[in-house]
Amino acid sequence: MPLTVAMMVIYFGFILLVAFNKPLLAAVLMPGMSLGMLLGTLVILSAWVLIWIYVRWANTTYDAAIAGMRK
Amino acid sequence: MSDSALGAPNIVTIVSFLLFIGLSLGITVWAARKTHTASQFYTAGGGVTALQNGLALAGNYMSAASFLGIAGLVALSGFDGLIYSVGFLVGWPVVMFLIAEPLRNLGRYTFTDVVAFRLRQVPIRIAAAIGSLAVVAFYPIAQMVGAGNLIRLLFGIPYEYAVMIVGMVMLACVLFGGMMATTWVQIVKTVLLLGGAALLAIWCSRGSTSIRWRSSRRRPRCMAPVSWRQAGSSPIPLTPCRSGSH
Repeated sequence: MPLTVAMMVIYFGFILLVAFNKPLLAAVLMPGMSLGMLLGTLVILSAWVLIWIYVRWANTTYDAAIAGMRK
Repeated sequence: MSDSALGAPNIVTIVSFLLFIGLSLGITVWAARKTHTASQFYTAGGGVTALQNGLALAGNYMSAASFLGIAGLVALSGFDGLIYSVGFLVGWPVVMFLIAEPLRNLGRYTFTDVVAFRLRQVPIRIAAAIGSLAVVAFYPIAQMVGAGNLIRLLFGIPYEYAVMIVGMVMLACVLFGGMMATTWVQIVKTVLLLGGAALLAIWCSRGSTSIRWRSSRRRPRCMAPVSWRQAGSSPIPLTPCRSGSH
């Protein structure tokens, strides 16, 4: 559940930036790379990181707990 | 773009398209032979490995939209279009965090089965059916329009026939092959898409050596973003990068 909230905050933060502060996103960090493109990439990468955290938690904690209940 | 070959039948694209259709149907026949039970139909009998499933999901994500729609959306509406390329992915972690555990622990195949397990069956199933049909009404129709237009451009056949052909191939694949067929078709698609996109990217960024080698008169360059072209930073006339145009 905290992971869901984290994903939502990241995603809607990005959407709100796109909606209300385009000049900021259009700031060019280096040729061919604006802040908006960088943040968009980071949103996707953050999804990977959150999934990785979830899978690690599921494999170590959650599955162990289920195995414990089944015994 | 006056020398564009769009709409004119091109033997290479037609042959590769027919090959892919044949491969899809071949996979469907192969999967239909192996599919006998509900578990095999819905979840390929649980026999899909993590890597295979990952490739298949990636194929889902990199749909026609990624290559046909989103590039155009970003080109036309900038960051408003970029939302689409990010938004599709964001739904997946949320689905995984919220639905994956109950689905597996109850041993059910669809989200509706899980909800109906706890609550009253009939209203839940009616609500789920309405939800599914609402999604179906918008999502695959958009996909079919894209696919139909693409085939019309490839073959020059009327749009209505193009849509019907695509629809029948899709239906045959899902109805007869189940999850096994859809998974493997998606895996093939992912490998082709990733390979093709990587090839194009390498060609475009590395000065397209193989193309230049064949047509030494004109040096093909990739199309730069609108902002660069307007800035006038490149004195070389820019032509769209097409892999097989000579």
